[in-house]
Amino acid sequence: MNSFISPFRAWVAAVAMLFAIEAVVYAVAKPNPLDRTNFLQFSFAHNETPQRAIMYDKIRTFADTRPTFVQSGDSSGFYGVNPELVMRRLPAGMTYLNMSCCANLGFKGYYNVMELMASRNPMLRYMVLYVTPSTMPRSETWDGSGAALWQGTDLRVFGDAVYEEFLSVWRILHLPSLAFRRQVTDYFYYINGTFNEPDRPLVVNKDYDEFLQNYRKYLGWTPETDPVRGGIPTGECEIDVPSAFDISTFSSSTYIEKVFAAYASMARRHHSTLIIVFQPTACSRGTGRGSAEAEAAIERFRTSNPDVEFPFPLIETWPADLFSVPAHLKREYADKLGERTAKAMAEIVARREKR
Amino acid sequence: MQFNSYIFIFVFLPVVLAGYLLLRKTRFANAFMLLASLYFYSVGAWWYLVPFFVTALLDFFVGQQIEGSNDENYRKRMLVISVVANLGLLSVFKYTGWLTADVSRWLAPLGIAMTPIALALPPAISFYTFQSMSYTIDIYRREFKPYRNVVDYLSFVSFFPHLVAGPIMRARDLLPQLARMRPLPSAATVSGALFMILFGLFQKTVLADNFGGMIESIQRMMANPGAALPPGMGLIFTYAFAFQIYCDFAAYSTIARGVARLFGVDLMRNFLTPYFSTNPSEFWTRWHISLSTWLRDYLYIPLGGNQHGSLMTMRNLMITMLLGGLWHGAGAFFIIWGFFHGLLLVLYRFAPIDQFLIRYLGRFGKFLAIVVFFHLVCVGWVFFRATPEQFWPIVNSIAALPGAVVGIFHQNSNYWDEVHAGHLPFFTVLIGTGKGFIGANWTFSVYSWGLLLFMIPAWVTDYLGWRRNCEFADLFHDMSWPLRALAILILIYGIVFFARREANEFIYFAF
Repeated sequence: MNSFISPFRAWVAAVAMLFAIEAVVYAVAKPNPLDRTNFLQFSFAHNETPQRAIMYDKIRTFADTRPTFVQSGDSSGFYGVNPELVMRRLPAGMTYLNMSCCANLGFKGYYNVMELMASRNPMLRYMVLYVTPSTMPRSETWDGSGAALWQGTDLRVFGDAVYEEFLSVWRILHLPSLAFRRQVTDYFYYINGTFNEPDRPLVVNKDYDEFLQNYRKYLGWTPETDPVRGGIPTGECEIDVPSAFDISTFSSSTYIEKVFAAYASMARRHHSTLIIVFQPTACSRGTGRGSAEAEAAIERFRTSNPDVEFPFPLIETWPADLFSVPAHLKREYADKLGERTAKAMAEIVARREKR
Repeated sequence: MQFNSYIFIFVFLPVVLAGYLLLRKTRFANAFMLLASLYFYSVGAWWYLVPFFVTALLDFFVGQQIEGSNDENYRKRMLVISVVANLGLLSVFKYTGWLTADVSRWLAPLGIAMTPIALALPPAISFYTFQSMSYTIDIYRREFKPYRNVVDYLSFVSFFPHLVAGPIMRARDLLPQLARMRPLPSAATVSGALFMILFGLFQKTVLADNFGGMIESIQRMMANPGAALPPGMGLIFTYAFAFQIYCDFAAYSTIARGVARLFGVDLMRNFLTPYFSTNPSEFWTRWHISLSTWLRDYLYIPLGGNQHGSLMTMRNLMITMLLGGLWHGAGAFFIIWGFFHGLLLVLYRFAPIDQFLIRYLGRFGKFLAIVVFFHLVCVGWVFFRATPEQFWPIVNSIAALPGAVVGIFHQNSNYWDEVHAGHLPFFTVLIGTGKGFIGANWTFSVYSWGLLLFMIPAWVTDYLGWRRNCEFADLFHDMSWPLRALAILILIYGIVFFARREANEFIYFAF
């Protein structure tokens, strides 16, 4: 037996030392489990992706805030829905949290954020998926991370990271000292401040600075910061409605139905109500460029999932001069958009709580 | 499936190892390994199995046919079928996109529109094609007898530790190991194998991936057409890629060897501290050894090797290296890279720079020979990694570095005059000039530090291996156990803190 164990002495000693070091770090520093992740990159001479940093800040701040509503989705809702406005119309004690981020979180990412919030907040009752019709579900945003979101950009979908870092079983491998990765990498990469400020923001970006000032105060919301581009397309909306073959049912269905069904199933699993909200658009409803097809897919989904709420139609056309970019309203119209969501949420609550 | 993933390390490997240990003494062991290997390979996309089975089964069949016949013409015909089919399939996947893109570019001025054909490249196709070809060629040469058991044969071609990126094993080395019931590896072997896996993961995730991050950042600086790189950044790009490709590929080979040892299988060494080579011949006995020996045995020697005079030797070297370049990928720069290495082999054959340096300068000469040849290899890496649009910005940036250094001395010439006059201390002015240089070349300075930071572990571990004519991971058995424990702990914490988080595939998956 000894001759078998002997070659592993070094491994046993190394693991024992590792446990000892980590036990000391855990006992002395008591690091927040949400800090013990690989979610942020901390790569050498490389800024964090702003969207990742925003998502990390939101998760770290709000993961255990016990909201009644959690909103997840793309940047249309991130800039569009101020929870304060919504909560004014909700019954007392109900709270609304805006966890929306960005299109490159992807539908898998919005899903994982909701799953994370629901798994940590058993009192969660409403899950709001808030998206713009121009980025409806497709393979790149659902089947796995890493795909480029838009051709010609290096903006990659990163929604799987929310699951891997905050929900998956591999979290058990996240050592307590992992919480100090930024300090350690900074120390070596920038020679303890010689090449970079040690306490600099995660992202050097004025929009991120504004986000940092606002998001705690407004429960995840921050006013729109995009420069107004003008030339917002007002023609017929163009909506991709790709299909996927499902090996389990041996049938093909649209990503819209497949993805929304997964959300509906998650909401049921957590005894919550799924509310799917579409952002208004400057483009208009038509038949030739996917909007009719998308509406038909949604209608099929609604028929088979009557418990899911759709307070607004897929396409609700608002004047183009209200928009800064096709997916965002100008910051001065955020109240109008917030009110729209608030009324809808209040109506749903009134109807559902009466039952 | 990636070696550097939780699912491989903590699920796939333990499960397959447990299954193998359970079935080891039964005739199902290889069938189990085959299924595991096929799953490992096709988990990303099942269609990868189609070209794999076409290649593997064709060569299995051809091998039987060659062995079963004494008719030399028939044997030759069968071999030709195998070679043409293998290289044909490889070429279709590997070169169609490149060729059709070029043809469409040539036709465009004539007003003929042609859409280039884009085919997805199945990972590992270059590796298993060469491996499978060596099987039929060896049978044709009567150096190896074919195996009748198709499961044993397929488990040789698909053996998952080396399937995706080598080493390219010969049937005569690997098949007999797989076909017999292997004894359990000793505890010392398992301990050493685990260290190989850990060190390989460190090389990949900490060293190669961080070098890769630097390269990506520098490439972003060149993203806009006509954008110039700051002085010296081209040099950083070159060194960083030299170490990225080495650490990345050596890591894969080291992990593959470690994993194979857990199953009682010895895979050949694929790297042996190549950047300590003094000349190209030595380099190719230390770099991607399984490919270079394959090219030597199945291409260079059949072409005549060095047996027919200097001119023929030169020709054979150039052909071998050009095809070696083409094996790596479709693109003019890969061919140029191969051509460049062919030229180096010819150059050193006729003007052995290293021997001259060693003869006249002794150990310092050897050091110089290593430095000179390392830089020549780096020149080749620029062709390998840079796109044609990036080539000149990189070269210009390297050329601008001496000017930046001289410029800073010019700016501080007043202080240097004071030094000459004895009014100011030399080191004070030198430090001041250095700080001035850092301030004026901030990006270069930051990246130089980063490069140094990741190069130090690469150099030190390689140097320790080079002194003993082995790789660093092989030194594990020679260390005292406390030193081993320390090495393990350093590698684990190195990975925890410094592994690059953005997922990076192994570079050679693309070949």
